[in-house]
Amino acid sequence: MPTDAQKQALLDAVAQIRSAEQVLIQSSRASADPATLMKINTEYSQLDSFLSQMLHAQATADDDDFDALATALQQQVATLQAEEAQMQAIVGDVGKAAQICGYVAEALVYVAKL
Amino acid sequence: MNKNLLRLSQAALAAAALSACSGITQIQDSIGQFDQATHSASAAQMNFLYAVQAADCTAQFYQGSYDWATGTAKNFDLTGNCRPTVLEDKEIQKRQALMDAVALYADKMAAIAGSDDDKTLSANAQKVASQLNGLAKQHGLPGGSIAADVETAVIAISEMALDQRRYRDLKTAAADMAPHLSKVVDTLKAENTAFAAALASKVDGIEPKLRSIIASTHDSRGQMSFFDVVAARQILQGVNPLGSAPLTATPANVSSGMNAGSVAAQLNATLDAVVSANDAIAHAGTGGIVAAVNDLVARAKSARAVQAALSQ
Repeated sequence: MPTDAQKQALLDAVAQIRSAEQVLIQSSRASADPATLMKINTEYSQLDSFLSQMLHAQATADDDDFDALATALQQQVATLQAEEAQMQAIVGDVGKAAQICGYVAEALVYVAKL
Repeated sequence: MNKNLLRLSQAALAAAALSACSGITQIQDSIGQFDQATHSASAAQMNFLYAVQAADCTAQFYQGSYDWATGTAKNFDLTGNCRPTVLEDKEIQKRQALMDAVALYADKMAAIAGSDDDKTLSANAQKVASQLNGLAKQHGLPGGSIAADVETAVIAISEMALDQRRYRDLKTAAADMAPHLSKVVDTLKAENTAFAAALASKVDGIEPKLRSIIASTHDSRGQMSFFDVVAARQILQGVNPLGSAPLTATPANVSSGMNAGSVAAQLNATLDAVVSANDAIAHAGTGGIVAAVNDLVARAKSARAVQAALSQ
């Protein structure tokens, strides 16, 4: 069973990842280049998958399940940090790229608290 | 003179009796509305959770189709086969149990408020309360373990619903159950905002896939891409359970006034109104109770609008 602090960390991380997704959506709308759009899709899918795992952790009330999910999330921190760099390369708008990275970095801080 | 005084006091007594009767009728009416509005809130809450699961499954279908179209999957699936990633069936069942407890409580309050001497619930409601009580006591509510204080709340509420002797007074019942009702409602509220984020994430993710395929096929499709764009727009409108696409703020859905975040906020406000109405029943006079229940009824009406949108 997640503690109140863990639940709050999850909610905060969810909000950050969701914000990063929204900036990615804006970037996709600004492009009609097939290669760029394909990469944006890949990045969005990664973020969405991470978000689903966080929400699933929040929804579970089983201690063992929660611990396993929290560990799985923390193990993906390195992958998500690599995604940050990818997103910077894909999103042409420097400001938007910085926004996305900021949100993801912030989310990872919260995930570390689980 | 004495006769006049006697008549005056008789009239005053009659007026007071009439006023008391009218007050009782008003309270009975309000508790009836409290019961109905709480059931509406419960139905809207459950519909929302099912919509989150449906959006998850829809997103999986589009992801699978996209993966096949772009060569990263060997096959595609048309059956709608889905393994929920956010809310599994058992997790929805658990939340259904919590909403059942809240609805049973409102039913019991309506029974206590009734002029009938029999303050018990219908046989069917008693059966539900009895099952809920038994499962909670054995730590066996559907969907696995649950926080101890929430479990305690479910036990207390279901016992109150089954009670045949202790609770014959609305104010005592409302005051005793207030902390338990708050606990169950707070548990549900804390999750709604996050589940709204999931719903929006799943639906929003379909748009870049459609853009990617349209852009990739534009060279070969030429001007026919116009129809691809139109069809993609229709797909986006169809997959959004709130009827407009995408769920992020755009002129299209700002006008509809409904997005995933606002739906969660409306549901939470309705759940809050259930608790506030109960607090008013416990502590306020007739006017306060009527006002709080009217607020709940108004919020439940909004929740029904959300439910109607989600049911489409």
